[in-house]
Amino acid sequence: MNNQPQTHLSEDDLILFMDRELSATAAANAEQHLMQCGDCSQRLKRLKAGSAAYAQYREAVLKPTLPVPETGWARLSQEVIKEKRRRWGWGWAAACACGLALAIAYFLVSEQPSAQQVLSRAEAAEPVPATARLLLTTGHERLYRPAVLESGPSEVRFQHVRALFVQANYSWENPLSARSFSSWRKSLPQKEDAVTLISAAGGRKFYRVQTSTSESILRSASLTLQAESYHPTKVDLSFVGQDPVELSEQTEPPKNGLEVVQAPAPMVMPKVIESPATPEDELRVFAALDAMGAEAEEPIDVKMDMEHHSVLLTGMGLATGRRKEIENAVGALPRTVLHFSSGPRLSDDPAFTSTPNNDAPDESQAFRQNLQDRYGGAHQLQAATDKALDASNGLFARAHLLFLLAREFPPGVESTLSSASATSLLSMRQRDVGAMEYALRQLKEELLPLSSDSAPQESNNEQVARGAAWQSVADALFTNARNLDSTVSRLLSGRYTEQEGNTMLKQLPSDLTKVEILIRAQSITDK
Amino acid sequence: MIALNEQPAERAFSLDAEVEQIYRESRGSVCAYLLYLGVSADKAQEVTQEVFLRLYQTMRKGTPIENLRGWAFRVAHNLGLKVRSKERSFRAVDADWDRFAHPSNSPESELLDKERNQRVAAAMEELSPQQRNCLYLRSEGLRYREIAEVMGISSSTVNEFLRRAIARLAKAANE
Repeated sequence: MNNQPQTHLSEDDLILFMDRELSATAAANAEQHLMQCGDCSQRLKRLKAGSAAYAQYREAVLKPTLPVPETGWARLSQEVIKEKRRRWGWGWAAACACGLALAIAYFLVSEQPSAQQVLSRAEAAEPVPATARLLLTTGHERLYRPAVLESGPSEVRFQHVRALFVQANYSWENPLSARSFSSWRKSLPQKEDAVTLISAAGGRKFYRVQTSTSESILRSASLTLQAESYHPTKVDLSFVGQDPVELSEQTEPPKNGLEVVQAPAPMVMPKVIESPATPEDELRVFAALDAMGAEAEEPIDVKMDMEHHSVLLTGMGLATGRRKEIENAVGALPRTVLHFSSGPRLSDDPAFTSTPNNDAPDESQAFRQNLQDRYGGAHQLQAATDKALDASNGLFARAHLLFLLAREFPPGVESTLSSASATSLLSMRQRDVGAMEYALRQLKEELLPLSSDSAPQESNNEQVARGAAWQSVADALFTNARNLDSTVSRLLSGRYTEQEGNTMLKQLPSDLTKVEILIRAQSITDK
Repeated sequence: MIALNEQPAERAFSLDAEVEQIYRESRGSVCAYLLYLGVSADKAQEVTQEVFLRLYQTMRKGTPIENLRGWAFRVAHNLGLKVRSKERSFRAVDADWDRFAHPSNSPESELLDKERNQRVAAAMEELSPQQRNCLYLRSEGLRYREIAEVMGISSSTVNEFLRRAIARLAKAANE
């Protein structure tokens, strides 16, 4: 071939090019070379044949041996619920201890009839009354509209939403109906269904039929129906690349016709205030959260408002389901206002996350090998990492809970508490301390191989002032537990240079000791 | 009286929905990979659930995950090996080599296909388990860096495994 370049592409380069693993510049150079070099093009073709042979082998030989069972999302969602319960289990004891008759009556139970069965029954049930109205919510906009439209909406701002419905072949005219849902569902060549029975507060039960597909612009739709009457109450629609659309039945009469309302900016909704809130009220909120298992890493905060009119619970970036759980647990308490917003999750706060160096070069391999050697192998390191991270997270979670208690019940406020409330507060603190002690023991055990070459820590330098209030100890404990969690997470992630790794290794015993001393000090203040 | 200020836009990115989506997209692949590793069907189902449960827990803690799919495979790999080591009998993939080596589709190309597939099947047998594993994960669409993380080896090692494996298969397919 004329003008054939002298330097051919290596086999390595050809495979990297084939797998799109070359950098943009290298790929462009390789492509240019391949256009000119018949030899390399031919070699690339042979390698592609090798790759295709594997694909063929995988399809013909492997695939029939790997039968993937059909297991829907519903089963895992139950596991998630169980997981939440498991983590919150101890909280029930707390509820009893505090004398709070608290019930979270929102839970999911086993899978129910098939989606087809539920929808068929719903279709056979009474149709939606023509006078019914819906609230459509999407993005920051809301639209009150009749449940059944005679023709398209006059509101031009919702034309884009209507267009999505039309494109997805989902009825815009009558969206909250089993028939419309069914019609869309049947039109899908491929889909996955899940039916869940939801038991809500007050003994009410609902079916939730969820259908997901990759074959439609409408990727997922969930229809919620009353279990007894099969009356649809809500439908959630998730369109590709769009804000989710929710349509829910409105029981309150509309003001008039089609009405567009702008969703208000996050704000605390007004509430009738009977009498000023007391620290006891605040303690009840803590106890309720404690009982339902609110966790430290959740972006929930509790504090008195500026005028001490009410206890303000704020939650940022919480999932809707979680908001409802909190609402169920805390909403009925007196002089309590809930405020949920979609602000940044707490986890977005750099202080709450470790920031792995994703660009860590392969030189981290040497240090990872060092860690593996200390633990006696990759699997042992992985197992220890999992346990250590769990322990560290648990410790940090408790430190945060204690920190919130300390902030809200400084000595001046604590001294005003009734005897029963003081006991309740002490009991919450003791549980936090006990849990931290346990978590620290676990953590130290898992990190033992990393501390073998460290000098023993001089705990004398880390004494806590005798007689310090538990509140100030809790504050220091929170800061140090966060530092420890950050060090442990980063160290075990294995993504850093050797120098960084060695620095963290040196720092680890000191971080551990500080936390240990502070937990001990906290424990002493309980006595 | 409780006032909730709903922010629907935020719901789009709600944790449950995000995990649900990745579960739906990757459940089959993760489960198949576990079966491929030799985990029994029952356990593979359990481990698949466990993988996504852990994903949920990890995301709930706010731990940043760069690539959800890669993460799921990595955890599946680790859990899969652990579970497999505890299972009484190792279930090797029961591949039907014979069917591959003796295709019976089109009579015209049967002879050619048969010889070629026999060579490819023989080449597959000669690959190391790690080379095969790299090929499998590559065919799942994972990048080299992700394969490296799943298998706990370096990207350059993945590169080398794949180079040898593909070259070997190419030779068999083109002979």
